[in-house]
Amino acid sequence: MSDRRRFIGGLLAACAAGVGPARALAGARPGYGGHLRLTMPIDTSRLDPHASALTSRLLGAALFEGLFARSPLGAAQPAYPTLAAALPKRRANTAAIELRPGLRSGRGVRLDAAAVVESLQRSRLRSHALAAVERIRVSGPLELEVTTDLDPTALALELARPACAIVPPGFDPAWPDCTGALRSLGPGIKRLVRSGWAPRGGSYLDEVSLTSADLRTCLRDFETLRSDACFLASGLHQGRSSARTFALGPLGYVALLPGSRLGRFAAPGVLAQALGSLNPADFSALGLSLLQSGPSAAWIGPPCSILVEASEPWLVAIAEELARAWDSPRARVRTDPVPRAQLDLRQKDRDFDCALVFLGLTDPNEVAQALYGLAALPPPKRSVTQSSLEDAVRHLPPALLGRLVPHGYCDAAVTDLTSPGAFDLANARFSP
Amino acid sequence: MIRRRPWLVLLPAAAVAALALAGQVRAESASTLTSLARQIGEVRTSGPVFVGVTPLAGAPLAEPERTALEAKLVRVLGTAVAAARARGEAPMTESTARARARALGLNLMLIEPTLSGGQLIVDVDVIEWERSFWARARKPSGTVVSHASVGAAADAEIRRYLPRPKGLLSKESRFRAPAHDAIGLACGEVSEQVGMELLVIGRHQLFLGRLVTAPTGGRGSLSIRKSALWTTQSPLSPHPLRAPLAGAWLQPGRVLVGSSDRADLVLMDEQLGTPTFAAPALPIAGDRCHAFTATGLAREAKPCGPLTGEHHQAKTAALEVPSHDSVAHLVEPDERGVAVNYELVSSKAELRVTIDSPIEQRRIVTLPPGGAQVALADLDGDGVVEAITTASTDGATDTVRVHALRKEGPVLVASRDVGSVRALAVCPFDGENPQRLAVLLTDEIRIFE
Repeated sequence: MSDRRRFIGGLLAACAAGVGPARALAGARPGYGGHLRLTMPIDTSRLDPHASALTSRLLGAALFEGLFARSPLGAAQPAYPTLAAALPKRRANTAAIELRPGLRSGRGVRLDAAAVVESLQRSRLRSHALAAVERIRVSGPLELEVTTDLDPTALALELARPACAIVPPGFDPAWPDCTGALRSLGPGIKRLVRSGWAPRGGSYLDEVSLTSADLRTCLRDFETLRSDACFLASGLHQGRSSARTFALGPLGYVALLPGSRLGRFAAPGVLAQALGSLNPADFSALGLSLLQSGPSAAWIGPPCSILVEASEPWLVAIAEELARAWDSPRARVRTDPVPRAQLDLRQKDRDFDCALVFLGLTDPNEVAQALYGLAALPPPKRSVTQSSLEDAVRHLPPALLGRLVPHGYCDAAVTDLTSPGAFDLANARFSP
Repeated sequence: MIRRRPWLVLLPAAAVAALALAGQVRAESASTLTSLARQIGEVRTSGPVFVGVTPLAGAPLAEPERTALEAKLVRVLGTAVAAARARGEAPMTESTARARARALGLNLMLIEPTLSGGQLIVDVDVIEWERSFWARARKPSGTVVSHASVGAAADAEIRRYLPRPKGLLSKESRFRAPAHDAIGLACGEVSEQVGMELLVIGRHQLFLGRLVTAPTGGRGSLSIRKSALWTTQSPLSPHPLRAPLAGAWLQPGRVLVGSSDRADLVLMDEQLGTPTFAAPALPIAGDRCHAFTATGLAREAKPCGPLTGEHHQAKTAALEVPSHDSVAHLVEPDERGVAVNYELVSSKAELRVTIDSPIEQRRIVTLPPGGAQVALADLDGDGVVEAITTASTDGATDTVRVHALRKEGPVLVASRDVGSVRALAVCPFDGENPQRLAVLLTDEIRIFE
């Protein structure tokens, strides 16, 4: 009883003077619910987080979880475990990673060590991630062993990359079984709902509908209240009154690959030189910041077509703008939108004039390495920075067109829609 | 024997407060006076008695309240004795009671109520008179042949006669929070030796301790008696809530903690050790839990448990059903001693209190839209339950609002702007002090009176 009296006495004697109010940090519980509709110039028929695609960059983080995630600035550790139970533990030249128990994909497939290793192997094959990892193997039902020289923190950061997201065994990009805050109903990612197995919690939104359309349709849908966000403008004919801007930050680079049909014009540096003729303003309207700043030069090659994936309306619009800029009576330049399967086949055979592709990379070193890889050359020995990137790749057959840095508008009622470089559909919600 | 009411506790990031008592406990604690009267009625006598109730000792009451409470004690306690042949109609001194009993030729049952330290203690003496002349000369005050002492925490029916605080939320004390990531708060008495303590539920750790004032008079701190890492108690949930909820129920020797981050509902001892586990849920009372859903709390309460030594294995996905953001539950006797059930629920669509009395029609009170942190308590001890809610003022600051749930409708009786509220807890009535409201902010705990 005497202790209790002391407790009460302490309370009563406490003095509040001189203490300022605590800094508010949004402690109130965010509201769940709502149906977000997005008409976007991207391919919604498939999503592969390990692929270097626009859809993967924009939406992959909301739909798939990795073993680790990057900490916010100022945190004690640069990364924290998400599907993993703890940060990697060093053992000689290997690192052991323990998984959280009971994890499952959105459709209920168990995510044990075997599933995670299979997913990481898949990521290594399809992306530039995990280059510093020698071997990954299962060492227990919920434990995997990674052979690498990376220290545990660096390994956690590497595994926190979106390209290292975990997918369940037998993953089909056209029918994606997600491991993140939302899961897909039906084919593609046209209809997303909150996942009941989300390892970091289901999304605030009940549902997200995604429609793929060209840029004009996206703008018209936003203007007519059929979409809650759009890129580049707030309407096709007039701005939507309830719109507010958002900026996503850099998504990646758009590159131009020469094909075998281009003959001697596929020589190193030719495409890069021709890109100097472009008017930056024409492309900034498409969210593309041109890389070339050299002397102006027009397309001097033969008539050509620009191969582009037809299911990526944004890339098609950029290709059309490029064709318009290069087109002349002497050398007609057209776009050649083709289905994905055909694109893959023709890219494999290099059966095209030039092809417009998206590189979902933002690190200048990785971009340079990717371009050297496309040119079948060993990667550059010197480190490449943002300012030296243009020079580093100028002499290659492929050319960098520019960096995709989109901005856009969303309805004022939608909060936390974006995170750097992506749509954060996990945390997006409607304000009350 | 003095019986203590379990201290209520709790309140999660989003929610909950309750001085709740469930099931059979509810009936027992529905009315302190009824319970005491029942115990007094069981005191054995050898024959018919005169029942005298002495004036109330202890609490310094104002005159009208003292008169009214004493009249109620005489009415309720005085009529509890089956063997009574006569009883005093008003409080009387011990000597008066003896004189009346002897004049009537009856033995005396003397009932002496004392209200102190938040407890109503009643001493009962059965006094018999000696039969022979010499024996009466030796023991003129009779012989106490039976004695009993019963007691219970004063409930709303009694507290409403106590002096009221000058203004709700008028006085505040500030203390540093032990963690910046705390999402739940509970208040109660886990150890009889230690007294009332606070449990702060963080994302990674639990802290149990007492608030202590800084010697300089500045911001105090939580003097931590015990802390425990969540990782040693329960693994991470395979499907946690993005906006987490956590809460606890404290009672002597038991700490029942639920967090949407974790795979289990965990019961610990007063040292935060020897954990046992059940399916994850938010404890609203000792045996009243709300399961976690995909978005919040299940609407229906269920028993907390069963508890086992094995961790719970989730076999199904989080349920996608209509849910509450928070729930508070309270059973409190009204001025007639009738147990009334209060349930305050907060969801995106509504903030509503349902009031169920066994002798009245159900009342549903809708409160102005507000946030997810809610609590129910009779903060000022006036016998009228208050609903404590939060509302966002400008997106960065929350307002704590107190609505008195009066018969004629809810009345806003107090409001205070604070920082971003993570959790609320009601620290139980204790002694002459009113119940206190503990508010967990990002880096601070504030105690309001």
